Amino acid sequence: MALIRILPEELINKIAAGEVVERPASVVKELVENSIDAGADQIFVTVNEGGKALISVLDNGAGMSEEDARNSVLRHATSKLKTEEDLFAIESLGFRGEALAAIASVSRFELCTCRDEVEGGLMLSLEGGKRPKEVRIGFPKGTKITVSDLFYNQPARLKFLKSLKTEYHHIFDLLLRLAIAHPEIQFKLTQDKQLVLNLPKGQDLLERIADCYGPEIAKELVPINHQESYLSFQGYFSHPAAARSSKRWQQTYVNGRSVKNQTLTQAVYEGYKTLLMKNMHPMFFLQLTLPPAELDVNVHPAKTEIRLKNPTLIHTIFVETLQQSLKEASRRRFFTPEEEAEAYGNPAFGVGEGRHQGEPKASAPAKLFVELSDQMGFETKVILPGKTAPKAPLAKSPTVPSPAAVTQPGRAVPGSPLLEPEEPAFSFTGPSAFTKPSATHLGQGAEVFSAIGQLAQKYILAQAEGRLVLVDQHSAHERIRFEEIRTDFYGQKLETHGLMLPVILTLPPQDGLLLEQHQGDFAKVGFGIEPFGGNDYAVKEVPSLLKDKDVAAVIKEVLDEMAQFGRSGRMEIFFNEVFEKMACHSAIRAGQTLSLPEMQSLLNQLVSLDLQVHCPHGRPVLVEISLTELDKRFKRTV
Amino acid sequence: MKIRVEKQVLQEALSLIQAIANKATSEAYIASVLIKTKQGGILLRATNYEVTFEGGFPAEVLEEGEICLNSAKLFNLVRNFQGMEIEFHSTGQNWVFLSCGNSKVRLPGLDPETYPPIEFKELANNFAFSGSLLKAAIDRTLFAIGENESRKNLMGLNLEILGNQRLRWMGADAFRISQLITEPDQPVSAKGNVIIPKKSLLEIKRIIDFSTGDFQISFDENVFQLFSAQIKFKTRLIEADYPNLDSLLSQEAPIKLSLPKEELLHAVRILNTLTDDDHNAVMKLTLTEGEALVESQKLEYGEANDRIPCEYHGETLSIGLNIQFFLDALHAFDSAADKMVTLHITGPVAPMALTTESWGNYKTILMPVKIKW
Repeated sequence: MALIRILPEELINKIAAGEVVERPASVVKELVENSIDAGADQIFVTVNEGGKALISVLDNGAGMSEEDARNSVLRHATSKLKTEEDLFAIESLGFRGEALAAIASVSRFELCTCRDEVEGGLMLSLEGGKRPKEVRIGFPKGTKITVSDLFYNQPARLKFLKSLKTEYHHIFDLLLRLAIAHPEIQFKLTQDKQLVLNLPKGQDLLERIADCYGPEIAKELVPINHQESYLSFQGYFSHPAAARSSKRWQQTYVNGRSVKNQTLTQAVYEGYKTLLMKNMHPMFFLQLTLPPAELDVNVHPAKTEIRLKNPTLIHTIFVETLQQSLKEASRRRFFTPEEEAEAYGNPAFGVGEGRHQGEPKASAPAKLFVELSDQMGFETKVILPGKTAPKAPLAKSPTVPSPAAVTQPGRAVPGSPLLEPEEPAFSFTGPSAFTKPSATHLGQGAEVFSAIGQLAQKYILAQAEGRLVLVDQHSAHERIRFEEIRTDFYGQKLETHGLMLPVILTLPPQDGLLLEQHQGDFAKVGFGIEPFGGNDYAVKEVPSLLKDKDVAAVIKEVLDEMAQFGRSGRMEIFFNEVFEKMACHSAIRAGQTLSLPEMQSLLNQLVSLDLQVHCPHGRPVLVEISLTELDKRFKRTV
Repeated sequence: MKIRVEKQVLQEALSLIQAIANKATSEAYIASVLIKTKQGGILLRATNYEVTFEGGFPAEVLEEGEICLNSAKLFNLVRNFQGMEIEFHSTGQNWVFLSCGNSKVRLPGLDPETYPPIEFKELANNFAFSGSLLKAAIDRTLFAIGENESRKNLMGLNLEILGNQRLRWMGADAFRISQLITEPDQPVSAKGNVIIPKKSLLEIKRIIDFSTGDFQISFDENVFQLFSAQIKFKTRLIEADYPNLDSLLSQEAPIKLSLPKEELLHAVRILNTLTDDDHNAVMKLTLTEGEALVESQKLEYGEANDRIPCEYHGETLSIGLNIQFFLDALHAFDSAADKMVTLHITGPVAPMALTTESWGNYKTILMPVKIKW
């Protein structure tokens, strides 16, 4: 007798249910996603006893015809796929055609639907996926699915469910995620006959976030927006100062689907880079839109994991856009538009090209400087009138990449060996648009912050229009020094130090292959690496700056990241660690008394920093108290 | 226990153990010093399990016994006492009464019975060695010893017994080597090599400065011991294989260039001052017909160059060097009587050696930095 048998349909459904229906929240997810796919703009969810006793989802979507309703509870029955090609260009949330059959097989299931109110609706009920009963009913256009006594016929699974409170928490959390993904849809949640959530339709994303997670969180968010044909994304990110110790406010949606994707999460952290404190996590609500063919959602039945076709490109564009958005938000947070124009538009504070506009003609002292430099054997770098000024070696603040940049990741920054366009393996963001303080800088121009005094030899008190600003003198100077050191570094050619004794690296074959592929990229930053037979590689040269680091660990960490994401930001992090140390050691300390001019100079330099209001370790540099808040405290206003 | 000891003697003795009796420790005994009477004086003991010290010092013993006190606290008290002589009187309850001049102090101690046992063994590899030579060996190699934890075997001084009664002392990190070969007057009955941790070398230097006369050196595969008439010291060794650097040390360079030591040192010091002692800063040494040009180019620091006339007749050659490393190497030649230092140059990316005529047994090698300016 044959031992291998084809399983009965009923058992197949139950096995599928094991993957799709893990807990009541999974049922809610499948049903609500069906409603969204059906084009509903009102979705009402009712749960009793944490969803164990009852889950009901009512929508005003397209509804189903009688035949469709009957087919919908059969396995692999779906309206969302027609051909094999459709599987690789999925636009709907569901597509596998498994969910309803699986849910029906482990519950008492009732489906009421109507596509055309004139024709009337149909009620279909099943028990454990069997004994279907049909009744014609009057029903508004849309669908209502009621799932009662979940897992009543699978006591083993029932045992695995957690407390009612926990299961309810999962449902609530899930519904919030779905609601954020679709702020245009009204969502209602009734729990044990109590209305617990009612989100109106037609909201924008920020309103929806505020309704779901509270206005306090929404207030801390910075918008991000990038639109182009290949890739568009929008969403909100927390200001670095509002980072949390938990990751629960991190939500990523790709084509309306709540997903977990390491490439995107890693890109977010890289975007924040030195702005976050250790063990702190940004809040973000990111909606990404990609052509359906650019991603694969058919990774797991739960569809929370996706595979991106071109993760490197998305990573690059996203990191740049996020950094730019955070910078703009920093300025907006501390400056009125007029102040901003004054701080950044005034030639005295000029950044980049603008600085050269008011360049004086070659004066007698300039000539003397050139003569003396020549006499003493120094190369003269003075730009005399009439000659073209060389571009500043430092990287300008990253801008949203042009369509050209989309096809070729990386940045074109003349003069900086790390930021050349043909350098795709390591992502170096470069310093911020930083202007070294000059005499004009400190003496003239508008003083955005005006120093009042020092508190506890630690904080500088300053006033700006309509507010009191407290600046941590060490953190502020540390950030200034960090940017100075970084700017100098990016302006130079990299120095490579030969190793007396090569470091022998033994790598797994795939990492070895990756290293060989990117040998040129490693060489550009100063690593001289040669194959040493088998899986061994000899590191013979290291970048001078990283000479005190564990070379093998640096290369391995970078390769790890490259294997995962196609490129690596770790290399820059290693360099940044050196800069941070140098900055910290050379910055003024807490406990140091500062004179008023010194304080003012520090504040002016801080303003020139694109207002990166965090020290390189992520601690905030300044805190502001508005006049309104002071008035409130003094009970001048209610 | 009741003793009288000269303040100066005790202060010097305690200063020798301050780095060993570490203040930040969870074990009180490690932060303590054991004082024990012996005939005609006292014994001071301190250990942090890595390094152990025992020294005998003169004192007047009025009543025998032993006490165990916090080492840092006792050292600071002694330094501040105004009198010339300190009297210690301990009670059975581990309290110690100190009196010096007009000062009286009552200090809680630890039970000396439970102080970790300290043992110095007779080791097979054993020989006498001059203190001044030992200090020179440390001074000339210490700067090159590595501090990178990923290369533990380079974090100490390699002492190797070569044939023909010669000892090789070597310090190296990934970028430089410093080697001194000594020929002791007395026979060496030892073989093999040991790696002495860099931290212990600083303690050894202190002991040499304090002591007079020759030392007895002994070691096995785990421990290095140093005995003088007055002091016994032992340290655990770095248990690793020291790399073979002979091929680098024996290379003959085609260019041998003698430069005035002081002039070169001053030129490099100027560059170092200009670069704010940045330990990553790099300089360029360019050799042209009859001249060596030493220059820096870190624009934000400013620029400097120094031209030193020399007997160079060849093609122009530039070599990049880490300023700090070059300065360290030149400083090691400070006490050499020679006016000239010889650079052994092979090419812009090949190791460069430094020697002097009178110190034929001492050599430093630096790896160059690839520069693009």
